[in-house]
Amino acid sequence: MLHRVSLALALAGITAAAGAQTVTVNSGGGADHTTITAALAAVVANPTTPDIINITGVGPYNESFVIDSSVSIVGFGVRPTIITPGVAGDSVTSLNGRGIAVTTHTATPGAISVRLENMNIIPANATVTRGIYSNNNTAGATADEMDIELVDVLVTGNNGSGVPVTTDGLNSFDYSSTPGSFTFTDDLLFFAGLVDVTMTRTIASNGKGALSPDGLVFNPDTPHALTVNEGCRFTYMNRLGIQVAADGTTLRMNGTAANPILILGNDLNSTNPAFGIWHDNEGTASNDYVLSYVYVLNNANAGISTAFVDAGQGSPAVTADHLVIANNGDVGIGILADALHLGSSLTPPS
Amino acid sequence: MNNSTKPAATTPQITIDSATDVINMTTTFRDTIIGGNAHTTSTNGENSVLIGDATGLVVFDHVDLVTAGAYLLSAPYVLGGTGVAPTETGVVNLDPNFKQINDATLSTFVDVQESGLATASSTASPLKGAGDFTPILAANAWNMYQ
Repeated sequence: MLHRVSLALALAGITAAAGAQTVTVNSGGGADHTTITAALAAVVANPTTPDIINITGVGPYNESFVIDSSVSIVGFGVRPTIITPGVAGDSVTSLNGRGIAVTTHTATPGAISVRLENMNIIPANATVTRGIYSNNNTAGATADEMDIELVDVLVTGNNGSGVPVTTDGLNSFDYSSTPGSFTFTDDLLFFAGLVDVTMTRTIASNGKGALSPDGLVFNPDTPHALTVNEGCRFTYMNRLGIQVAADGTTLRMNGTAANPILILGNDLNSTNPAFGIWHDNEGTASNDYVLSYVYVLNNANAGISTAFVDAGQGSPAVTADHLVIANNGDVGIGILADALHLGSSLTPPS
Repeated sequence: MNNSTKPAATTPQITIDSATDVINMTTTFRDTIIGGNAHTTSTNGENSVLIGDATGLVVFDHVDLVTAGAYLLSAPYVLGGTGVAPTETGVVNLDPNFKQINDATLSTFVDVQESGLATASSTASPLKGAGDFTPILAANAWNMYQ
């Protein structure tokens, strides 16, 4: 079932100036609403920005939803689990099958800012494709910007009992040894459209579905920014840890000494090409491209594959510090502008 | 353009659109450890740092390009096509003697034990990532008195 949330056009650009509207959700009762979907509908009915939805019970919340207005959804003093059956009913924006979808609205254009904080997101069945997904609404406000922030969000598989297969992303889960368990079938985090994304302590782990999932795909339509902050983990995927495929991307990976970014164990035992980080960026001179305190370990193919191509586009300078790259299948780092070394010569170790 | 789909699932390799493509940026690695998978042979740059056709420059500034131990590279770097040799400052080729890199749940994950890296960073501090630096030699000396 498709649920849409929208704000009035007149309020679309207003942020802190208006008073915050806060509603609460608890599936066990004792709050304003028992579902996140109902809370989203309620904040639309009383359009005030910013909207805050505080989830006060652990749930689970068996629902999928589409967010197309500015809102913060926060696990408030608890860490709720959303068991998502996948969005249905969308015909124009490629939202069907996604767990949580962010998009611009057809009738009420305007930039939106969405924040998800302190929650688990797992699939309700074995057909849900992506955990969190964004794309502009191609039938309407295609030029509107989306700003998405994820803080302390875990996206992973379902152990068959409505429980995440990992809590910290540090172990590989064997779905075959736990009857009834299942994974998202595709990328756990996928961002398309006009979108900037910032994430902190967010984990995408154990996506081992049939569609060669990546932990994070950043593929905006035009140059935008991806910021990956401390404590983020992209681990034990069937393919890439991170894929940054769009030209002109600004990429900032800001791990810290106390809380580095981990990209571990992606596709160790498969013939998939599986890099820790895959960049393919025809950038501009103004792009930031920074990696700091990042571990890239035990991935099947290259640790980091970077291609900055096309003379004359003024590709950015890249700075990387405090990386540890080791035990990746073939290349530690590929800094490439030709296809010579990225074809069949890259194969997993025997 | 609408990028709601990603490249083909089994072929994420980079597609280059003309023979004139070049790298035209500077890539700087600082205070970084780059190890391999212990394969000692290199064909077309496997198990190494691979620098392809380039007009830009790769800079290794206080970097350990590992050529010994359990996670050695087959070569510190390999140039492909017209790749340009990197600029190297403070580069070492030591086995970092990682305590272990397979179990991320343990506090010993990616701890560096090689005493030769004690002052190898750009600030003369231990060259390591975000883990601990616990030189084997120091640990052994301490153990003698236990």
